[in-house]
Amino acid sequence: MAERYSRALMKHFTDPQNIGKIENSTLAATGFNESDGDGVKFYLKLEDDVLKDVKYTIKGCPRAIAASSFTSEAIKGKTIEEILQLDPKKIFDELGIDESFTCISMPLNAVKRALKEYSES
Amino acid sequence: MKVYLDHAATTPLLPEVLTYYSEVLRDYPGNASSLHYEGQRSRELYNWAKQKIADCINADYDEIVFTSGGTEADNIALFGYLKATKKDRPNRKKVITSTIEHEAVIETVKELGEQGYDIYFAPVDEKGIVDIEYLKDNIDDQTAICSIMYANNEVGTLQPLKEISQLCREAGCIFHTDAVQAMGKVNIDVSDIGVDMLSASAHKFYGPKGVGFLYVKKGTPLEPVFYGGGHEKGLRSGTENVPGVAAMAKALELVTEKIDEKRDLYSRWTDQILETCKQLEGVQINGDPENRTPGSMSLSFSGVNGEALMGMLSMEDIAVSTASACSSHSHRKGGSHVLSAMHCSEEFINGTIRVVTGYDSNDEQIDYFCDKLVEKVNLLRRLSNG
Repeated sequence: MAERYSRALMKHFTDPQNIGKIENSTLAATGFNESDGDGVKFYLKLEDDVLKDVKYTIKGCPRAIAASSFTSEAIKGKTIEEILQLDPKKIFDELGIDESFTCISMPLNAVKRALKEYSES
Repeated sequence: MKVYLDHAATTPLLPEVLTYYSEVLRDYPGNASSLHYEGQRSRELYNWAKQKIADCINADYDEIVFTSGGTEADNIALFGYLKATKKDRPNRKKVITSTIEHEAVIETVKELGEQGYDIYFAPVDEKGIVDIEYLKDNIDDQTAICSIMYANNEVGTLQPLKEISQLCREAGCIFHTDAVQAMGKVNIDVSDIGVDMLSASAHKFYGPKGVGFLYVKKGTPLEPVFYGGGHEKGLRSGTENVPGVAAMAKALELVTEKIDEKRDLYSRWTDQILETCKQLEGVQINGDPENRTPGSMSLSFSGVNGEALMGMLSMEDIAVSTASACSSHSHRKGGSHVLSAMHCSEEFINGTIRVVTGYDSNDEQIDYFCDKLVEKVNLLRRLSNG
């Protein structure tokens, strides 16, 4: 465990932040791993293009849980434009996981995909 | 409190074995192949270990070949037999195994396929029992060797070896079994089973790592698959691991004496853990409830990722293993090939942990595990449900 999971990853995995749902969210963002049924669903509350609140539900491995928690903290309070600019590499670096684990980038990619569609609609 | 419940992965040395192992390391420095007095002392101990191992499985002294472990024993059995019989039995090109074998056999058989043998993987039912009808249909006068594991490493299911050995005998082919997960957990009598070769590994029965053995029934043709000083009748060259085999023999002697006692104890703990699982909806118990290695449980939880559950339990100093590795990584295998072969749903495969009790387990640990299991499954389900 100690070698494979960094301290930062364990912090988010064992105490994930912003878990839950938002009743009147502006939009939802989902990421899903078809091969094993794991997935995350973000509830995003926007006000004037600013993400005022974010919650999510998740079924996933420790990396996916930690990445979702980290992502929720990283995007909260930011504008749509700022979120779309976020580089997933930052999450890999912060959590100490190499980039071959796609479950780390799945949460941010899901949020960015949903926000892009929302902006263009 | 540390709670180790991963005894199918490996077992800690028994205290008596550790003491004995240390003494032999200290007191028997001689090379067992040396002809001087130190060498002869080591040789005597080496021979004692071989006789002890043979006695534990109702074999003869010269039917035991010491190896570095189960994987090496499996490789020597399969490659060694086919190499020895290639010229005399050219029509026997079929190699039969099952879909739920350990990689030590599966990968070896795949390599034999690459070398031109016709390889067959027998399916299993939902309990993990190999399809006997498939074996009846495919074991014939074209079959060289059939290798079916004694007990599965993930779900503990015991296979009907006597029935399979009968099929092999009738077809004139050799029957090998990987008994790594069964040795020390169930009474093994090679004559009663009718097996030709059997592999075992010491660290699975409270002996040291890096040592194991292959039982080879008298008269079974076998050639070396690697070469050197000709140790172990040429089948496993390399300086004899005297402390390793002595400690292995001591461990097997000790655990064999306690098989019945431990079966009853483990059965009580298994009942307690399975009863705890009933408090949680969406639970599946994998394997054959009537016919598996004592203390082995494969538990699947819906709405839960097995690796996350293992990680949560590990944070509470509980060690279990998971059958699922995160499939998001390009270099990692996804879910368990064993559970897939048993037609387990992806949802359950993804949410599986393996729990195996052992000699160092106790009532207090099992109570603690049961409490934490319920707590962590519920916690992970809250994460997925919000």
